[in-house]
Amino acid sequence: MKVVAQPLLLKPRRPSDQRLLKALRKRRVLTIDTLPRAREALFRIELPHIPPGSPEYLVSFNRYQKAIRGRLPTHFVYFPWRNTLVHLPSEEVFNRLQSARNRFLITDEEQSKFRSARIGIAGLSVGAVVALSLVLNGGPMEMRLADPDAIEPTNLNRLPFGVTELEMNKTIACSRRLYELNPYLNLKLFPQGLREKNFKGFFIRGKKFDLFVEEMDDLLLKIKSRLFARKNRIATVMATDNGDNTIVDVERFDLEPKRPIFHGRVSEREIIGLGPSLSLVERIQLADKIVGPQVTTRMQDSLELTGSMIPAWPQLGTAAITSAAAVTYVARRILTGQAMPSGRYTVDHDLSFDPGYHGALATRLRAQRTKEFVEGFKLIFK
Amino acid sequence: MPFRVWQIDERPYQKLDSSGDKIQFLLQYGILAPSAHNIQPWKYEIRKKSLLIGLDESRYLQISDPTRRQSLISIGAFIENLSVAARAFGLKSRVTYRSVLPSSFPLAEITFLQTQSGRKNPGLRNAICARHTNRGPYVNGPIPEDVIKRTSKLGQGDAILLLPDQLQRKAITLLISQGVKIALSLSRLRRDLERLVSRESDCPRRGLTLESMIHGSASQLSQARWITKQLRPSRVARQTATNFASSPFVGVIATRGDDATSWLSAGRLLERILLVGAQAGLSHDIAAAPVEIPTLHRQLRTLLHTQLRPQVVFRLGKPVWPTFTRLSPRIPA
Repeated sequence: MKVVAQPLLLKPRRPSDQRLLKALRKRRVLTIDTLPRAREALFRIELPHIPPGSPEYLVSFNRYQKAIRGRLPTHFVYFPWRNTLVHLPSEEVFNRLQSARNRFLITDEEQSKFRSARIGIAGLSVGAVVALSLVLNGGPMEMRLADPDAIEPTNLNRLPFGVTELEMNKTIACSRRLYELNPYLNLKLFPQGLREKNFKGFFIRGKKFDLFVEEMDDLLLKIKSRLFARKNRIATVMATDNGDNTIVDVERFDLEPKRPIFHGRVSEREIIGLGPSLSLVERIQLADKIVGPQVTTRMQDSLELTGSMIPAWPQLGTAAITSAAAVTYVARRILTGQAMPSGRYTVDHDLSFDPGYHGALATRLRAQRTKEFVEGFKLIFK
Repeated sequence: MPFRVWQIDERPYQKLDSSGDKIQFLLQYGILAPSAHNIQPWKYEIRKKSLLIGLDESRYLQISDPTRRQSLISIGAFIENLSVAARAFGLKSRVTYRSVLPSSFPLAEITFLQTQSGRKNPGLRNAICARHTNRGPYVNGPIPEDVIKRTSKLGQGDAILLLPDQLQRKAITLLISQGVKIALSLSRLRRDLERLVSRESDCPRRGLTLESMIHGSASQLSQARWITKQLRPSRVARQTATNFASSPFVGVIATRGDDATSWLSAGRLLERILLVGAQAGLSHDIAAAPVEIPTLHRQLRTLLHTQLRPQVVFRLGKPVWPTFTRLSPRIPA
């Protein structure tokens, strides 16, 4: 059975769609009419100086409604997985309403550029949160999403999905969630995940996208996808969880086509020597080079316990959300032509909020712990 | 040239054939409408028998007129001038409001049709060229009864003239004083003003001349010095309030709605009143701050005991300093 990941957009004036609407209404689907509220919201955007509740509000609103009656193009959007039909304004009006509260924080020109960009996201754990954040910000309408995995219970501490989505492929679940935020998106899905054999289809078929958000776990794929992005001059952004914090790597292959991947933290000669799959030691060594030892103390402790007391690299919901916000910010800067140089950036809540962070004792303890971590790592893995 | 626009030779009109040429001729009257800071924010397109009118977005001042209210009131005055002039030349005009949204084009369409009767009410047409702002004090004596009678009968769309009583006028004066002080204390607004102030000898086509803003020898100051030295918010606020307090006629135009249609109506009513005043030899001055600043316009509405939205506060009177009445420049039609 084909899994549906996209809603149906129905035009009320198109005869074939009218028939479908009739059939849906007969089935008594849940119908939501958003138009009255949308019209008023539009009025408030167009004439924001009139306070609701003032005597002139009703006079001007009635005039406005009379003027736009019958002239507001709409769509009916059917979400099969929810058995719900929503009557919405057309794409242009919907997007205006959806991004109305962005105005002046994001200029109209920036919003337009941001929205018309194309973006690819591989790895839909943090990647799903990034995708949601991008759509919330009124970001790219065209996205390519790739992840082969199904949602499992241990994902629920950081992925924005519910128990009804357990066992569902992450790409499908993400797609549904995104379309529920904005049904006018244009998503191309890769539920089989990103593989070397579908790099062309993912990155450049149709029209190559403007930004690659790389959030995969597979280290070989991280490397190979990066090399492909660089070859095709596609800027790449990656966020790595670090306790409650995030490390964001920006690689402007669009501006620097000769830039070494991972900022040169991994030698490309070494990469060429890698086999088709990596041993545990190779994986850990590579990860260490890419991320570095400057992870939080608790992260260092957790990493030492991975495989004995905990099954996998620990990840917090706060880090996923922070990563999403940071990547969205970076993406917006890149896609609207603002300065966003390559480099490694951190968003560190511990630094911002922990009152003892800068204390002499805390600083010394962190340095000591990092030294022990690095030495221990060398002993075990090198 | 920018000041010669105030002398219109009517004779060529008789020789005009096409509606387009006649409309072009009438525009000479339209452009003489008052506008905030004399920015002349109108934009128009001549059609076969009509004129489409809207806002020239490149001319409106985002800081001092964020909602575009002042600009559209000016455009309303522009429309009224066209209607008055059309009537004087034997044309009937019908104004259709086309949008409630200030940025739309067109905001209004004026259709002109030939009537059987010839010229009517040429006097009010002549008042278009006689209407001028005077920011100085006015003679504190009664204004002609005829002016009161005629203005009190005027209404336009959803715009109504309110005549505050003595107590209300006193309170309005305080609001004007507060408003002017707030407005001129905003550095961004002052920078806006700097760009628009020049001297008559510079032959500007827009904006305010120093000679119309400072009376007497102070107008010899350079523009920059005036902005920094003379434009003291408290001083200007006090002066403006005193002038309003002592004026024989203070009016408030208010509307039921608060959108483009309401603002155009307010502008048309305002211009009609100013023309009636100009016909009787009266000058006028307008205070925008009490209408624009949110805290003040709420107080204004409360003290006027009205559900209507105040749009314009103005005064009429015979100027104490007639030479302070200056021709303001215009971009020719």
